[in-house]
Amino acid sequence: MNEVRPVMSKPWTLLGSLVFLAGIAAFLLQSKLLGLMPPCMFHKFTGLHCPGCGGRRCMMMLAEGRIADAFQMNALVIFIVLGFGVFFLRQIVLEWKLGSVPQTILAPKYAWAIVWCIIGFWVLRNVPLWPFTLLAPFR
Amino acid sequence: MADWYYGENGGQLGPVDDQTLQAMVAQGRITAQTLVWREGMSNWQPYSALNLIESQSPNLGPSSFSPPIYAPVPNSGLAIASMVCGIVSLILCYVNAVAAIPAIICGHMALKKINESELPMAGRGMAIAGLITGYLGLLFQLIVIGIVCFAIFSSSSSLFP
Repeated sequence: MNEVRPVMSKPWTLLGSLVFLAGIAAFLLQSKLLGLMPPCMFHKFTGLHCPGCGGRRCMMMLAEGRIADAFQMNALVIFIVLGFGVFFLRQIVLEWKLGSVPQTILAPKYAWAIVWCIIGFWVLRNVPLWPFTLLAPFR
Repeated sequence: MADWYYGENGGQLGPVDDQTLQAMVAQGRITAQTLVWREGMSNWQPYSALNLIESQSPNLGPSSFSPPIYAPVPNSGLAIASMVCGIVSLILCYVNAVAAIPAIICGHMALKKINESELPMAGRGMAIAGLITGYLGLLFQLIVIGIVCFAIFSSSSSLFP
């Protein structure tokens, strides 16, 4: 168990590195992965967009530098990825500076705000009126 | 004008300033047994155990830009795990349940811990957020499974190009 200790002493660094590597792997392998996956049933059956719809296309467009298109594909995913990124960076920096990281606690009003944003995004992007159509991906 | 936190129903509430705290004592909302805490105290104390001189000690100065400090009672990370998994479960495709189920389990475990803890624990908001998003993710997954079953049983070939 003692050999495991140095790695586990920095859990956020470990977790962050794993997530980062998984992301890179998914990005590089995506054409292969896409060939294996069936089309989205929810969208095919109902024609509606789920909160994650357009997430992959969003990342592709960011990689190509098409920022405005990326926001239309899935603005929520952009904010979530940024949010998680900042959170992980903060945890990693604190981990190295302080040794162990103090508990992260989000006040209920912020937690509720996040939930309402996700639900609101899910509903609004399916409204076929401008400006809500700006939230829905185009083919 | 210190920031006081107090425990109610197993959760942490606050911050309130000195005046509000005294008002709540006068109302009877905060009793001698209510656990309170303020930055600088090493642990939660029942209100009756407080040395009143402490409430007049000089303010340590505004906190840095870090978020409001909650008392040093660990919340075991279950509430955070629940919320993160719940959010992810709504963003994923095909496998929402993979994230939704941990969100629901961790959320209930976190709430149980918070309700049963003797010291006020923070994280109820996060746990509830995790539960809501987790249940929504699970519901979404069930809907998709229902659609797939319907498609298979109605042997309609139009959904599978």
